[in-house]
Amino acid sequence: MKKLLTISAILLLLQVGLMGQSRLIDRSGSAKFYSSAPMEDIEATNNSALAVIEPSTGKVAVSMLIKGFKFDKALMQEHFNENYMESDEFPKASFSGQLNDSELLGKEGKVEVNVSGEITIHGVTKEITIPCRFDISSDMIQVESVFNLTVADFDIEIPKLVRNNIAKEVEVTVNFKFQKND
Amino acid sequence: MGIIMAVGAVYGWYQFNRTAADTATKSPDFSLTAMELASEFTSDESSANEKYLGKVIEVEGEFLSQESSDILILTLKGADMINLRAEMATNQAPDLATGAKVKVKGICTGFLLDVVLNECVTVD
Repeated sequence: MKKLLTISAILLLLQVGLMGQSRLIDRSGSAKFYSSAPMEDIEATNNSALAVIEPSTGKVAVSMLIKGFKFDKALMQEHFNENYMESDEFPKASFSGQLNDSELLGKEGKVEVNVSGEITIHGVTKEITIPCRFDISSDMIQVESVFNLTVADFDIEIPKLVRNNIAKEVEVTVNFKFQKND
Repeated sequence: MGIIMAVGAVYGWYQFNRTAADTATKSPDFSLTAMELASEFTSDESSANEKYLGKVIEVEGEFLSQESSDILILTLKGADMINLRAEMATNQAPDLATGAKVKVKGICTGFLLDVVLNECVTVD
């Protein structure tokens, strides 16, 4: 049900509004996560994160493919997909939310705004508020955010054997660039 | 006994350190056009996921555009506004004119607004 809501959110944002509201899309957003642990640092990057933003309302929707995260080591990537994220069953992670103050997007310059909404990972949805740094120019909106997620919050099971070797918190960095339509 | 353990240790070390295999050396699980692949995902995403996720796919299609930010991405024409997005394994941009026929081979990661393939190489 939650999955349907997020997909609908994205589709709704993409429909051409009656008022001609412009929605901006970035298909090449980057999402990285990093966690440091005694055995080994875990790091992966996704270069095909999709984001849609509606500057007039401040609505945002993000979606990315779990299998799109690239690790240096193949074995780590396999474990990530097969054991932890179960990406055959849950192929995507998504976010649907709203800028706390969308008017800030109208002015050029750098601004920090919180974005609140729901994040869905591994089939589990959580409320979240993330701090975002926006850089708005005449032809582009760039946004970057760094925030932490707790692995256990998303029913991701780390086997007892490696539990002390894998960090419980993961640092996520996302970066999007939206070309303005006008 | 010692030899078995040594072999085991070497195998373990190899597995631990192995990087993603070069897609160029893998033979494709499927071979079809970008239009066909895009249509399968739009008509039934769940079945297409089951069939294609994680598999090596060789896709032939019309080259639309390329972009290079952190990595090189080629976009091939699909069907009904759904295109094929190929994340290339190297940054070497192939010399392609818009509309040219191109074949890429990569691993299917799924479907967002386009069907996405990772670790792609061009196929002659």
